[in-house]
Amino acid sequence: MTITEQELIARAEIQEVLTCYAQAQDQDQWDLYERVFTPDAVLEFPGTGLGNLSAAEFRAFIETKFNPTRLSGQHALANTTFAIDGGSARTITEVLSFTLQCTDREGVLTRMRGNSLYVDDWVFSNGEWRIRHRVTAQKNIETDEVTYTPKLIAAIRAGSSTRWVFPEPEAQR
Amino acid sequence: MPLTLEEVKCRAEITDTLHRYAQGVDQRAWSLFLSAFTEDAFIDVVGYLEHTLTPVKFRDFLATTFDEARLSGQHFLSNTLFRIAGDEAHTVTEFLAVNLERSSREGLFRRQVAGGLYVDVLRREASGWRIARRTIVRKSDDVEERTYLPQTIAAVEATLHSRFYAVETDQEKR
Repeated sequence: MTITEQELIARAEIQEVLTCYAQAQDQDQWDLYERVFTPDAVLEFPGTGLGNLSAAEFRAFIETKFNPTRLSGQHALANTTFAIDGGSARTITEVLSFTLQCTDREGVLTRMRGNSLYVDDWVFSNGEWRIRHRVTAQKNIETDEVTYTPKLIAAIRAGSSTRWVFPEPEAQR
Repeated sequence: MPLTLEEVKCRAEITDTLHRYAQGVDQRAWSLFLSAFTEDAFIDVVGYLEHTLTPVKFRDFLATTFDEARLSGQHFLSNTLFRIAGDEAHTVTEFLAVNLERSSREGLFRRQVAGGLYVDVLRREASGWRIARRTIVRKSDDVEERTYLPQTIAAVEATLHSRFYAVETDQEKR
């Protein structure tokens, strides 16, 4: 299939929004998250008990229930396939997630390693792509405990407390 | 944010530079590694190396201390976020590193799985986009000992000294 310049640009714009989602969660930088979903977007998490959530409900869940004890996290995205049709699109993206959560025991961390798939339906509106429907399909999740030295934990904390992702210019928000 | 074709091209060129760094480390292709940086670049590894390093000093560290025990390694990159303004760019990239290191006991290896961020400032020079400043931020670092069969190790070793990159010379291979 030949890709047109227009489609190449659309792919890059969609990829950027996918990246904003992951960086928002992983760097706790929620201004990026606000670029990802339409106001009426629905996020499904089949089989997890979370039910269907709005983007705001999911953000509140992560910010208040999950991230307060999180030491660090990564959602590495890969292998995105694109089906773009005018002002709508579907992408399917593999996700490799890695999270360390603090416990009440010094140096002991809960490590979660998971694999999942984001199946996203997009809409192009007001000059930008946004997700209007996401299904997160869980493939695998493993949880165990690991012990880190105080020095390593301090190094990770130093990194996670710094704002690494550049602030958005006001005009682009 | 609407993108232009020119910006998409810049992103592809910058991604190529980020990949040269990773492939340079992982395949010990040190000229490829150095080609990712400007001549005056410097690198910080937060909570790991105390001092700021030049690319050559960092290469020397990786090619000696780091590589003494390393059998193989991979640095997977993902989620690069770009901000490009003229001839300068800022990027933030997740990395996941998987390294296999020899131990003093035959058949026993240390497997390291580490994650973090590359926070980069890049500059466009006549030769293309180059990293002028890199900060490496650590997120996790897990090491466990594993036993591997001799044939598995033989398969890994079989390609260690292969020349996969056209830019390398014999002198630059270790």
